[in-house]
Amino acid sequence: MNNAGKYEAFDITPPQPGIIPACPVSPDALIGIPRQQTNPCLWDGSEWRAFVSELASKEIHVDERNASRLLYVTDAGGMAYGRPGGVLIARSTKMVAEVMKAAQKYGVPVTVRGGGLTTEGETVAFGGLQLDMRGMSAVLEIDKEHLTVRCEAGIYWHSLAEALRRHGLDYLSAPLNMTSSVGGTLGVGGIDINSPRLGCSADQALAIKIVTPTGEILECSESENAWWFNRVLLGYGQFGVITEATLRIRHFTPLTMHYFYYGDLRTAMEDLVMLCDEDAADYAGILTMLDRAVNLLVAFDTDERERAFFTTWRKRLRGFGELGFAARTGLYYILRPWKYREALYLLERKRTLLPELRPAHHLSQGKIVDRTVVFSQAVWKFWGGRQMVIPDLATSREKFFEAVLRGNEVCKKYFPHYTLYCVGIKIVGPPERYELSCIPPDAKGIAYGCEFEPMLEGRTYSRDHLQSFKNEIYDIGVDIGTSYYRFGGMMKGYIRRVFGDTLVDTHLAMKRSVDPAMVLNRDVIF
Amino acid sequence: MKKLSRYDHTQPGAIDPAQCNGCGVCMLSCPVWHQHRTKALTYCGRNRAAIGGADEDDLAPSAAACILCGSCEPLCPMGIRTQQSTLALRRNLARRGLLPNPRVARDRKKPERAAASRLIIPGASLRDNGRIISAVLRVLGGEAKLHADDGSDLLLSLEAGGEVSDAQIQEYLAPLEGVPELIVADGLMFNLLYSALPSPKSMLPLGPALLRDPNVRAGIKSTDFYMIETRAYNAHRHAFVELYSRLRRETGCTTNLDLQRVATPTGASCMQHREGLKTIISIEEQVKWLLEGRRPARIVVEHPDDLEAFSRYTKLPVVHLAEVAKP
Ligand SMILES: Cc1cc2nc3c(=O)[nH]c(=O)nc-3n(C[C@H](O)[C@H](O)[C@H](O)COP(=O)(O)OP(=O)(O)OC[C@H]3O[C@@H](n4cnc5c(N)ncnc54)[C@H](O)[C@@H]3O)c2cc1C
Ligand code: SF4
Ligand code: SF4
Repeated sequence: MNNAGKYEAFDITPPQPGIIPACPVSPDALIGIPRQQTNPCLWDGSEWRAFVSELASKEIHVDERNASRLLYVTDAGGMAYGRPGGVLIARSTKMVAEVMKAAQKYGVPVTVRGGGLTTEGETVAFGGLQLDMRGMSAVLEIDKEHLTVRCEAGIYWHSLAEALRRHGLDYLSAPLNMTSSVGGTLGVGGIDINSPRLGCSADQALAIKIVTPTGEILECSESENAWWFNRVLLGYGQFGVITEATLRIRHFTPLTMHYFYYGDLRTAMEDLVMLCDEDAADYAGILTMLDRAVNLLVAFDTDERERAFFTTWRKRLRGFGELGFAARTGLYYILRPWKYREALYLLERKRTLLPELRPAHHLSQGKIVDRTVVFSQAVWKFWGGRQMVIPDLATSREKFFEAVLRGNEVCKKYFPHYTLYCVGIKIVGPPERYELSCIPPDAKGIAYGCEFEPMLEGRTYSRDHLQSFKNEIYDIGVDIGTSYYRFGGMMKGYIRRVFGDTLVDTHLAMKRSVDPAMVLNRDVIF
Repeated sequence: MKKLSRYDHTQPGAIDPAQCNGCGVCMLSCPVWHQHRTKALTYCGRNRAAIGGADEDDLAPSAAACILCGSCEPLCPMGIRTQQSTLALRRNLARRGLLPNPRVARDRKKPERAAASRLIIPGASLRDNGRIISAVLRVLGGEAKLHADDGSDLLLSLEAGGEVSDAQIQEYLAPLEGVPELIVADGLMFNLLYSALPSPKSMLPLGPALLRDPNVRAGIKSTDFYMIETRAYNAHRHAFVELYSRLRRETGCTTNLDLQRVATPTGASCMQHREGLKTIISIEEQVKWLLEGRRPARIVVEHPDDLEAFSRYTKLPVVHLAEVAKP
């Protein structure tokens, strides 16, 4: 797997589009030393004017005002900075098709952005056109009988939920982040705490309308243009722009949530794996506060599932309820008074975070009514900042423990406080869909993922510090052979090391054949 | 009800981009976002552009587009006071002639001392609606009086980014000090008074004040669509959210609270609409969105401006909250 040795150390000449540059993380780099990040270089701008004029002749007006371009200088990660030459808010599939035709003709890079929640600069344009898909946010058709929705792909999951709820319906799974878009999520995967049952968000798509990199409009599903369907889903925007999607949906139900607390991460992980393997809960995930305060969250859509859990699985869980855990933890710290800071931190977390996860106005008869709103608000409030540093590893069941425990040690080196967020991801689609994606090639049945989320707590960290931390987490993936929820952008240098030349070159050849000028989301992967 | 938070319209500084993390959560309930899907026109867009290095002048179209509904305000995880920050930006822009400036309050008559134990500040739209005033006075009881000087000229000026001197504000506030209970019909006026009066003994927006009456609550039916006044509610959501959750639970009505428990506006009470200025918010579209997928038999509104908005764009009966009271 590890091909890094093949490359010369550090090459400063701008690579040609389509050539993955030499990995700047040299194979013999000392673990933890500050690393170079792999921001691509600025596009030279040739033919930009001709591109803009051609679009203008078709009544498509690129916004070149400074204030508009400045809106897009970074993504949620806040580590990569670039500026597009102009911005276009997508308003129709036809418009996107015209853009891609002109982009091919003039060789102008097009960087597609949904919510822009990438953290490695994948949605940051380094020159060229920024195509903001959120102008296409309509809900086109709700089919209550067959439980499907057709929507435009720029729509935020939250806006989709808002529209569906009026009809007593809900989406199946989406990132715990209200400002991610349907198209962006289908492009990268999308992990929810119900992913151990339902797979990733991309797996909820029954059909998509895409614009190919050469501007062709295609309707794709497992039965129509299936190659495109499985290339574009989880394809990091390399093979097409998703403009519409038909998704499976469900009847809305509030959910009941339970927390179990562990004094040990490995035990909690074992229990999570057991719950996922045995399909014991509708939602399951781990959130850590400290090594000795680990929270296993389970939730249920129906009372029957909840009852079944308490009859069959609760007794097998080794975690405690809130009171039992508080008593044990209290005793632990009473016997170790020198650890009072840790105890205070835990108390503070309990005081501030727990109420945010159960706000009265989002509860109805003890059940959580708007889980995404609750979680997303909490995520931004407690972990959010100008820089979102959330490296992750996605592994097979076998590698899950090593990956997380090693990552946990890395977190400790860099930050006083952090959270690990672990979930399972059921593999429900055909294998070709997951090639070169967040689903690791060696995972069978259920893959597991872990996000490592430092609490920046208003402190200022240097970019080098944050980047070194991320690299050290990503290095674990290279070392033991995992994948990542997010890759590309500044992680581009890792891709060959993780997936190997054969697979990457196969995809590069496919990319070249469908995107001859290599303009769509240039530098994200290719 | 929980303690209301202070609201300071006079805080300097147009926006505080340093605190914004760009999460975009504030856009989710923004009517401008809902209708245009153009980030540049939202509060988040203004902040992100400023962080990126845009000049204040570049933000003028966005500042003018905002209807100050406050829907963005309770959502910001960083606690940025978005409504007042937009007002401050408008002030800076208006000073340099970069915003259309409607009437500005001048030559105000010296207000009379208010002598009532319960004083209603009606705002322009309640002041002009005799039918609703009678209903409101009926519910609020004999001791309630309408304040002659509703200050709507000052408010309009503030909303437009106009200069209102401290002396003018102090002169307006002086007669109100010491009034045991103030009930304020306009949400923005409520926010202003709440922040400006030294220690309001009891101050409520009109909706929550009327809802104290059990006869009013009893008049709300499960088939009603209940339209909360957005500006006061959104600025003080933490104080009022439980009141409306209870109302929903007890009556079964639907409301204009979205999934984030933010009140969605019709846009009818914004300055642009009232003053006939150019606005990019279509009230018709807002009404359509508010009623999408809902089948109410009647609309109940707190703000008088919403009466007209719903009457114009639906065929449903529309009543003011004060009119639903069971005798
Ligand atoms: C605070 C925070 C919390 C998060 N929580 C989760 C979580 O719980 N689960 C999870 O899975 N992820 C999570 N993420 C990651 C992020 O939410 C996901 O990557 C998200 O799905 C991306 O959606 P987006 O609309 O922001 O896409 P973008 O970031 O805009 O785009 C993602 C990629 O897809 C491309 N793209 C965008 N739109 C299209 C389109 N229409 N067609 C083709 N390509 C397109 C872009 O070019 C880019 O390469 C989180 C991120 C943050 C910052
Ligand atoms: S006040 Fe209302 S219109 Fe203005 S930015 Fe906030 S949500 Fe949008
Ligand atoms: S919600 Fe607050 S932090 Fe987030 S984008 Fe809006 S202003 Fe910025």
